[in-house]
Amino acid sequence: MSALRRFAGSPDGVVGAGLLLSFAIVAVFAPVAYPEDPLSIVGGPLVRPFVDWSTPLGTDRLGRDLLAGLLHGARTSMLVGLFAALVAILLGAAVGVAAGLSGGWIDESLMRITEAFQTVPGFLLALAFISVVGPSLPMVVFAIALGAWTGPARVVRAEVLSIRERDFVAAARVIGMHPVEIAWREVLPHALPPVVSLASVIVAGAILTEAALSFLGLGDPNRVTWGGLIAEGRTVLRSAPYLSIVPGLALLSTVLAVHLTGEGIVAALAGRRSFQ
Amino acid sequence: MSAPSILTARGLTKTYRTGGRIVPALDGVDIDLAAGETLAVVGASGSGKSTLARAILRLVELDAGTIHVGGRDFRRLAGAELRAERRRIQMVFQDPALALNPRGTVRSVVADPLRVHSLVEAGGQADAVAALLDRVGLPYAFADRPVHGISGGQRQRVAIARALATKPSILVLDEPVSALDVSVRGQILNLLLDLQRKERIAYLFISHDMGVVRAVADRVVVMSRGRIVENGSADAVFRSPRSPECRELLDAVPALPGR
Repeated sequence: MSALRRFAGSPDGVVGAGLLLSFAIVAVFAPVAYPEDPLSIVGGPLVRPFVDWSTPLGTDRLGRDLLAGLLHGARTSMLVGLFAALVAILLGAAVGVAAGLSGGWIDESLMRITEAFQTVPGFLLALAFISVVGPSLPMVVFAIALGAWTGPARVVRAEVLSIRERDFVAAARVIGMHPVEIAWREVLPHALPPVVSLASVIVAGAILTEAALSFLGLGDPNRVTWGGLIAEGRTVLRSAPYLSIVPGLALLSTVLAVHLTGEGIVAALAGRRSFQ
Repeated sequence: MSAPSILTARGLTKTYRTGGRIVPALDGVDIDLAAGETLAVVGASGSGKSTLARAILRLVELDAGTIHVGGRDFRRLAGAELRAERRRIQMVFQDPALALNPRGTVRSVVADPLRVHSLVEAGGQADAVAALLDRVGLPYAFADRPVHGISGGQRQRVAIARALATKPSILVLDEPVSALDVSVRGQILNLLLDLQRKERIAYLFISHDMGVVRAVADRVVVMSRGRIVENGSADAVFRSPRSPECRELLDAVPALPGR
């Protein structure tokens, strides 16, 4: 309750969460507002915004509705952003807990693998992975997670190293609890809060990476994405700049909203930590 | 000849290396504990008494020495066998605020050992938890309180209930009252004495407070720099301490009128 109140007390968090919530509503109700395929042709090509009210934001070179694409693109962006972050955090937390609790050579080898992944830029990794396995939504999610799990892994390991020395973990060993149960029930829940504040950075990064992949034509070809819309508009950037600018603004404000929400969450968690 | 020993430790040795310096935490320590008695281990901070407690529970790996619990070589056990044998020897920590999972409830803490060792039938858990809470003087209404929502003394009662859950024959008590308010220390000590009288549990009682030790101990060993420097019945140690370390600890007890 008080964490929620602290979140409400941070203006960053409130603005971010408000924006994010409205994007989420847009994403959820996109198929209701525009039930037909956003890739279908609905009007003349390159209709300017605010001219024909059946296509309020205008149309692209092929006469596809930009607003419909924008709304459906919100679905892809948020879906990929959230799931990529989820996969990255789950993978990172598993590696971090295993490394932190095992110690010894298991810790050493897991950390060397983590460092090896960290030296390769996440975007290049995703690019290489997608060009091998081919673009589809689950593969895009996995490719992005592949470059993002190292952060959570290192944070969780550092937390686990301090938590495993605490008395309640010793108490769990004394009563004879299985090491896997100790990791899952006693250690992991206490190692996760710092990862939650990392999550917003990962979600924002994942949304940008997905847009970049789509921009290069490596997104799921059956889905409208913001990156894809920007790439589509690029060819007519001089005559119809709105085709790139509008999805670009959507991307910018989503990433901004995610970051602001993250600030709010950090404020809420920081308050609790100092209280303890 | 005294009663047969249920905990026998011989030659316990442990050295820590900190920044190139080698610090002996335990240097050939022998311990014998008979059923139903209280052996107090006293010493100043850094004397190795907490390392001793944790080493006996296999929370700290020793460099050398043997530990027999109920006749079994405790140091040779590993994996599932060790976890099963842990039932016999339980521990109460110094600060119950640190020793209980901060996200837990009274019920989850007390029921953990019951579940881990499958000590109750399905559906019998609530009764078992109620019985354990009753033994430490807490009403069953406490079961669903979060552990951060109860007082320090109540938390230590919960920690004692958890330690009793597996019906151990030995309890290692590591400064069990020194983190508590002075007003509840006596209550917790009386609870421990009561439990011992009724159930004949042996206590290995770690403390630096000779006032507390006088109230509970049958026998006393005094530790200093990882070694045992004095060993005797509580009466003898309190009447005529031989080691300077022991006299120092006794001098630290404030003289109360009427004692």
